[in-house]
Amino acid sequence: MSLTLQLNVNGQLYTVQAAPDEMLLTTLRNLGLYSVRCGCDTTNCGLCTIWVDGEIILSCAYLTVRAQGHTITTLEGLKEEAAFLGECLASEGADQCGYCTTGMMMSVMALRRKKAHPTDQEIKDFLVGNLCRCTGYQSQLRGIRKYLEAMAQ
Amino acid sequence: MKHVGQSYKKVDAETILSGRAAYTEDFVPAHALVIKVKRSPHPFAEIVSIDTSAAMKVPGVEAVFTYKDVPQTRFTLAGQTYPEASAYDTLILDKVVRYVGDAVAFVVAVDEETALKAEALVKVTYDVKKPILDIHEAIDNPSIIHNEEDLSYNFPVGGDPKRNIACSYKHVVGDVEVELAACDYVHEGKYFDQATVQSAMETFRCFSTIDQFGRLVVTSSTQIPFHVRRQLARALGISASKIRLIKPRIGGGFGSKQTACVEPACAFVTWKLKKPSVLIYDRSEANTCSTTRHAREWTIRIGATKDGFIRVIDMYTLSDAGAYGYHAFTTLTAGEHKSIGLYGKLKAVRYEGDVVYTNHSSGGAFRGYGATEALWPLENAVSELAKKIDMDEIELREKNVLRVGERALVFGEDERLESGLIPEAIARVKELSGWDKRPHSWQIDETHRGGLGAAMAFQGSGVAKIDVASVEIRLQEEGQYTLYTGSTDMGMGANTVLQQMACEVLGCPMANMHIYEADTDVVPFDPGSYASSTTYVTGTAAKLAAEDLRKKIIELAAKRWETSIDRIDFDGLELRMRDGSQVLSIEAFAERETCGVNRQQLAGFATWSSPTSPPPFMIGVAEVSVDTETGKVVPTHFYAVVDCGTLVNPMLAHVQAEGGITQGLGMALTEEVRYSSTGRLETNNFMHYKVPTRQDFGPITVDFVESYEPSGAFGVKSIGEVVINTSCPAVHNAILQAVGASVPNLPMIPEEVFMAMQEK
Amino acid sequence: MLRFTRLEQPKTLEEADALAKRNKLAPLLGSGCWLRLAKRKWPLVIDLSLCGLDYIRVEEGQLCIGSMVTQRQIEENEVCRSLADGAFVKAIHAILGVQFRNMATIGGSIAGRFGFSDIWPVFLALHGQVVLADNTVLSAESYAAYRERHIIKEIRFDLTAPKVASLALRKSNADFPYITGAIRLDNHKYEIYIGGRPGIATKAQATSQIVAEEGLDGLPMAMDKVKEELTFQSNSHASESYRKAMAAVLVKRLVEEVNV
Repeated sequence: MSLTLQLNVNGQLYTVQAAPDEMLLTTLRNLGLYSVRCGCDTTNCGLCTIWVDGEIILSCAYLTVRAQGHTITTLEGLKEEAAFLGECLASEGADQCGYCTTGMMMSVMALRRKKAHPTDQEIKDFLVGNLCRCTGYQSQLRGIRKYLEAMAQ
Repeated sequence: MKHVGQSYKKVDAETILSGRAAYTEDFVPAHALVIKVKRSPHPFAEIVSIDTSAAMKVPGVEAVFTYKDVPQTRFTLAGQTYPEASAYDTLILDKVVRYVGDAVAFVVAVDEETALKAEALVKVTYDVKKPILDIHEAIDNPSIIHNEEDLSYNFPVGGDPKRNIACSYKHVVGDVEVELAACDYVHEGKYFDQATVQSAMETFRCFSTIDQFGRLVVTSSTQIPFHVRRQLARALGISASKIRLIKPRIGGGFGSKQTACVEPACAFVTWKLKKPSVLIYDRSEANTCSTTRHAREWTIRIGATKDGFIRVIDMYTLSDAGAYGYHAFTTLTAGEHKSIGLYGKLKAVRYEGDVVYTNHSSGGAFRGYGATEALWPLENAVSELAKKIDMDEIELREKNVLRVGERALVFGEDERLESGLIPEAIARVKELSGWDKRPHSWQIDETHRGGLGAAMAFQGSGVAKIDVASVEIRLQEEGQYTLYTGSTDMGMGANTVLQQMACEVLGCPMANMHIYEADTDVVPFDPGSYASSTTYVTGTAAKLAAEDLRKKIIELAAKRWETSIDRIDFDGLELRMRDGSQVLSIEAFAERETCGVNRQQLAGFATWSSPTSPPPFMIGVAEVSVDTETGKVVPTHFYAVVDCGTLVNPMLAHVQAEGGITQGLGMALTEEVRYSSTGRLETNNFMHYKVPTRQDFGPITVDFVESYEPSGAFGVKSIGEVVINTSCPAVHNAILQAVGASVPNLPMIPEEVFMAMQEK
Repeated sequence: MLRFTRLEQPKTLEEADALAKRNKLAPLLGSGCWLRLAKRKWPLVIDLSLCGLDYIRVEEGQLCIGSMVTQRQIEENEVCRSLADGAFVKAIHAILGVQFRNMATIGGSIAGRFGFSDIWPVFLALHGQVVLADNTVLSAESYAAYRERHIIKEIRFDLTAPKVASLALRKSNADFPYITGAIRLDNHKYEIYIGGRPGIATKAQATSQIVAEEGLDGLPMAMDKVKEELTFQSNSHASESYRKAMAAVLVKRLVEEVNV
């Protein structure tokens, strides 16, 4: 049985059809929001990170039904800021395969809203749920620092 | 140089960081049939019967295929240049299943839910056989994993499938026993390395369609489009000319996608049904039903004289091929050169191994490709030997390391180390880590000890005499250049680096060139990106193709201007007569030359291969903190110096090094591989297979020394693989320094370290 | 993945409780974080997310945390942070990543009664209470053994907690711990809890007694006692013998921590 749901995604209202057990990851990808990806099925990798009311969550484990009445944000909705963060990461070579990067970027941009001047330890702590197999994380940290410093100006 | 040596950001960075469609899944056509694979719950069994009738009755099920439906020609999924050194031991679907998760049937339906529903309804009766779940029990076991008569090899690799031996190798130089007897110090050790999982964040996936000419188009996240095309042709029994392979952006590979995986099923389904289909692995399938590093148990003896000259290395490995023999022989043999080759004062060597079939998931290619495995026992043993001699472990290595111009005992007759700033690299890592200025073993606090340990590594740059890359660069009608390559950027920045090398020759800015990669209908042949080949082999082809195009442009301009080529300057953007009498932009030139009578499109083309595989060098120093009560090890700092020849893009090389070191630290400390007593891989997801998080280790300091390798373009060697090789032994040796215990088994989880400390 | 064809989203706890009683097998959905790990299909699932159970409040000297409050909300709540000098939030902080903790509910963590739980040892040491939908109040210890079908309304703690500390050993960050422990020091009375044996955390009675009577001098004896007093088993995370050795280490470290 498919439900008709109203979703607020990236400031736009969508009417979608979703099964009661559909996860938001699937719904968002069906809307063409390809920054949201599935990496693990077990809540470990963070590739599917999006915001619900500004808090980072795992869209692979979040029922679409529950998203009604909340504000959903994906990387696509953060346009200029996301592009700037992307630029900072690319300038450190931190994108590598890029598959995990968009989810990680959602965590970074959420962190900045909570704490404009985090320490390295606080950054690592906040992003520990975002796995990356390519970079070894060091270049990501350099790119994130660049972004945070520029945004704090 | 203008472009070589510049830390450009990657040419595809903006797209992949925008979230726009870039990866395989983003392009799956609407209405593609979804394939789910019915898998064996048994490690070893023969299918007695399969009843697909109930599954077929589910509305929306298009087909269910079993072993009865597929061609019966065996092939290998190993991505290697033909003739492959891997046994042809695989069918698209086989009557015999050889590990928990082996494919039994393909269920094809309109959507995933229907496919899953139907998959559960496929009824299989098995004749369950006694499995082999321990490498020590494989040889001459009454259970024969590949008892089929049609298994074949392209050439002898020491295999004996009836004895469960996938392959074996033995190389002896000199008299090991005599030389060992002459040594003042001998260390004997036994070490084990586990079958680590590459864990690319994007799992295996592909989709297939039929094009307007009736050909099969397979779009796949693969490192090896040309090899896959050839494999599919054999597996499906059709001409390779009927198949097109396209690789979009890959979400990580690390060797896992150097072995075909999802492609045969998906290609078969689409070819059979003439309908688009898609197959995407979940994480558990990715971990279980692809290929991993080969688990190896090593015994090693190493001997030195009292003045610290290492004279003998004697290594034997019993190794786990798993169910199929992909890359079993070549990973074994590759390990020899890249480990023992480091030591230049040897008088005798034995390097020997048997790779045995078991009912585990298959081994395959993983960054490091046999070198990582062989360097684990060797570099551990060198440090343990240093301890015995009471010599600084780096000093011992410095004393024995191969010098430029020297021939290692395991090298070919005419093979020498042509380039390498090895002493410089060693000196630099000592400086970075403060090696000479601080203790290598110290008390941190009441419950923690610190230690510093080192390890060295070689790798290769491409497969000598086998890897052949071709590159084409076309001058397009607007004066832009397009570079066509069959190499496969999987995130490391190959596209960017190739473009830098080509732009260096042509002189144009990076923005004036575009790259198109990995589409077998469009690009010239390339084996794909593996074996640390892309910068060295494909990069050299790119340089030569650019030179070819440059020459053609200048020659044509000279013809038009009725002058000689030495009177023309060309910077990639503008042609100009030296005397200033003629100036023509490349746009105008291209426009004029591509259209009209007697005109042509100019293209540079080059094919290159190398008779050698110049080794990049790395030395790593690990600093660890060991909890002496629990055995928990934290790598608090890792220092590395790499000589990969000329750095084409220092920033990307730096990130390669950091990433490789981190993967190595995962192998060293966290990435456990466990099977249940019934042969099920328990560590089949990220909940149980722990790749390092960003909190599991301290800073990584990387530096480079740039030697000039004369054989390829611009002095380059390779970077991609050598960087994973030192982490495991360096951490082992740091623990040895910290607490005096040698931890023999990977990963060095707290319990292993605790046990080693207890046994000390 | 756990599949279902119908989802009920009751708007009050009473409604949810009635639904749960009418549909005795229907799974109750807390965060749903691990739905993908399940393999079954259900006709009905009851979602507790709209029942108004996401409150944190102080009532009569007790901290009351609604069962649908997320782990992350607890970490960021000042009262929760100050509970037992931060011992409670410290245990929560070690669990996976921020995204997970933004979803995982305290009710789910408590109801799961997992052996590997980071929260359970400190929940026991804090003498936490579980309040069920029908306002039945259970001590942490009795709830650990409670087997009736129920919905948790909230969990409660006395704000005047004594000295409590917790520790967990894990092979790597964001992994499950292979052994956990917590200690309560209340006026020279010690309570030591060890979890991840791999069973759920439980009190090491005799061990606690030894420390209470002998003080720090009794530590070596207590470290031996814990190995025999509790049952330990091997599983994929650690062997029995290693768990025993590490339980002893936890006893030592926990006692030391509350004595600085």
